[in-house]
Amino acid sequence: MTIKTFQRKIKPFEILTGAQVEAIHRGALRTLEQTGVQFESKRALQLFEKGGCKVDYDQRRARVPAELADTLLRQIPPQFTMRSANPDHNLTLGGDGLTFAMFSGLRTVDLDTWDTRVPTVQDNHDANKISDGLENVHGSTSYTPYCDFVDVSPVMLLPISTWSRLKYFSKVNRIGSAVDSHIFEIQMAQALGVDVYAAFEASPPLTFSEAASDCGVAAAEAGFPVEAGCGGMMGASHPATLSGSLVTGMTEVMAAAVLTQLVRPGTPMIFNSFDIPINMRTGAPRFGSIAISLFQVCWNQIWRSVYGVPVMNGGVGPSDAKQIDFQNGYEKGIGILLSALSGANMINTIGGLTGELSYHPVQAVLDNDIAGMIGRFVEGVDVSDETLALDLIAEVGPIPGFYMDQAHTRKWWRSEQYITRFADHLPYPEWLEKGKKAALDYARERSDELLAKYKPAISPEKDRELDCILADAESYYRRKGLL
Amino acid sequence: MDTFADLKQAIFDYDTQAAEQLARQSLAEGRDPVEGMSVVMETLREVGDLFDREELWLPDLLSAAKTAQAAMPILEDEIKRTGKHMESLGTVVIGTVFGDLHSIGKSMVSVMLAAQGFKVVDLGTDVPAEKFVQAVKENQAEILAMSSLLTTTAPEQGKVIRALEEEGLRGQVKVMVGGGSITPHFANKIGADGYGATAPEAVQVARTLVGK
Repeated sequence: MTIKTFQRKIKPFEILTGAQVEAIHRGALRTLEQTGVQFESKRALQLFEKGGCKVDYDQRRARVPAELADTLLRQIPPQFTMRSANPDHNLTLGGDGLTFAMFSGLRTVDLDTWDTRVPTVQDNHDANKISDGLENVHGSTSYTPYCDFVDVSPVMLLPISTWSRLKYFSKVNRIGSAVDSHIFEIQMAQALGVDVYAAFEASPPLTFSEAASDCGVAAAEAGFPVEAGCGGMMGASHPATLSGSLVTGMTEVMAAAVLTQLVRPGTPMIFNSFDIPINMRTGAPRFGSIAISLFQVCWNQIWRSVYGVPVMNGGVGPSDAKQIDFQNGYEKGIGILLSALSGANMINTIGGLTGELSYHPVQAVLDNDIAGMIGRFVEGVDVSDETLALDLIAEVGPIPGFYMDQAHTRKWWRSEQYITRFADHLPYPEWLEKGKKAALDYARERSDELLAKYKPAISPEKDRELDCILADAESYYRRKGLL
Repeated sequence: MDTFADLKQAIFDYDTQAAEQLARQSLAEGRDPVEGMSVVMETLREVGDLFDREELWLPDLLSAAKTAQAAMPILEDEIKRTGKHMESLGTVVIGTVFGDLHSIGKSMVSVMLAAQGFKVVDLGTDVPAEKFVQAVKENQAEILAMSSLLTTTAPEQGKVIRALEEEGLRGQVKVMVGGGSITPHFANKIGADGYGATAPEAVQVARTLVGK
C-alpha cells in the first residue's frame, strides 16, 4: 500500500527545444569530462579512479568520461518505492507522480508580530505531528521542519532532526548531512525497518564536501536511495545565465550520480535543483524569483526527456516575504504550479515561509491546500462516456433542467473539483457574521486540531530504540571532542 | 590625456588589462604612486556612492574592485620600494571557518574591503582555528573577519575567538562575523565585536571597528 500521490495526466509543460536540451546536456557532459568536479573526500576520488575516471589528487578533481557518465545515468530506475513507518504512507517517486515534501527553516515565527525565534525540540516534534496529518504532504527533506534548536549543540542538530521526524512523522524522510550525522540517521532508519533517502548535495561551483559524499556513499552502500542536488546562486556560485547555471548544476549532480552508481549500480536516485538567483543589492539569495521557475522547468524537462529519472524541485519552496501575506502566496503559488506543470516528481515546499530562515506549521496547512489545488490540476480532465454525460444532458435538457439532484452529480462533483479547506469561501454576510476570518485563521485552527488528534505510528519499543541511537550519537561526538 | 584620469576611466570601464598597463605607465612617467593610489581609492568611493544610490549593483561594485586590484599591487610595490607612505585603513584577515566550503559572501567582503583601502589577507575556506590565529599574529591584523554559512560550522567562530584569547591576542584584534547562519545575537554570544548581515554592511562594520 502506498500513500496517495497525484498522478499527472496532462502533458508536461516544456519551454526548451530539443536542440536546446541537447546543448545543455552536452555542455554538462563536456564540463564533467574536461573541467571535472572537486571532491574533498579522498575515498570518493579513489572510487572515481577505480571506476574508470581521471583523477587529479593534487587538485582533488575527478573528470568523468562522457560515455561512462551517460551509461551510468541510464541505469538509474525511472521510479522507486520507499517504505515508511506507516505502511499506508510508503512512497513511490518518479514516473508521472507528483508529491510534496516539507521545507525547512532556522526559526519559527510569531504569527501576530512576525518576529522570529529559535525553535525548541518540542516545536519540531509538534511541527512533525501536524505535517503527519496533512494529506498532501508525502515526505520530508532533511534538517526539517527546523534546522536550529534552543540549547542544542550544532553537531547534534541533524541527528535530533531525524530522530524527531522518525518518531512523529510517519512518511518518508531524507537524511544528511554534516559531521557524520548520516551514520546515526541510517541506524535509526534500519532500527525502524524504513527507507530513507540521502542528501548528496554540491557546494557550488563544482565541489562536494567530504560530509556530502560520505553521506551519499554510505546510503548507497546501505541500500537506500540518494538525492543528488545542486544549489548554486545564479550570478555568484553559478553563472548568471540560466543555461550556464543549468550546465553547472547538471554537471554537479551528474558527478554525484556517477559516484553513487559506481558504489552500487542501479541505486535509485532523485535529482534536486535548488538554484536561486542572487539579490544583486544585498548578496543574499532571491527566493520567490521567476528565474527559479525558469531554471526548474528546464531542469525537469531535460532530466525527464534525456534520462527519464525522478526530479525534485526545492528552490520554489519558500518566499522572500517575512509574513504569510500576498507576496508569500503569489511567489509560492506561481513557483509550485510551474514546477508541477513541468513534471516535478517531488516539490519541496511545505511549511517554508521566508527563504531558509523560517518555517511554520500553519504555513504547512496553507501549503497543503495549494498542493491539493495544483495536484488536482495535473490530474487533468477525465473524458469518458460517463463524464461526457451525453445521455444525462439529453435527459435534463434545457431550462428548467437541473443537475444538482442527479446521481451523476453526487458521484462526480467531489473528484472533479478540489475544495481548499482552509480558505475563505463564505458568502459575504456569513463571513461578517462568523468573524471576518481569513485563510490564516482557518489554518491556525486546523494546525491546533491536527496536533490534538495526532497518534504515533511507531511502537514504544521502537521509540526507545531511536532514543538509544541518539544517545550513541551524543557519545560519539563527545569522544570526538565536538560536544 | 592624463594617465591617472585614464586609470580612473579604466576602473569605471572594468578594464583590468588597461588598469594594469596604466599603473605601469604612470610609474614609467615618474608619476607619484601615492597620488595614483589616491586616485584609485577615490574612484572606488565614487563607485560605492553610485551603488548606495542604487545606480550600480553588486557585479559593478565587485568588477570595479577587481579592476582596481589589477593596478593596486603595482602602485603599492612602488610605494614600498621608494620608502613612501600610504595610509591604509588596516589589515584584515578573512576566511570561511573550518568545515565550511562556502565562499561567496566571504569573497565579496574580501574584495570590497580591499577596494576600500584595507590590506586583506584572504585565507580561503575551511580554515582551522590555528590558521586564523597564526595569520592574525603574522600580519598584526587589526581585524579578523570570519564567515560561516552552516549552523553546524557556526560554533567554529567562537572557537577561534577562544583560541585568540589563549594566545593573548584577543585584545589586539577586532573580530567581526557573518554568514547565513549567523545572527547579531550569536555574534554577541560568542564575544565578537561586529556583525554584518550583507557584504556592504560588513564593510561599514570594518570601518567602524578601526574608527575610520
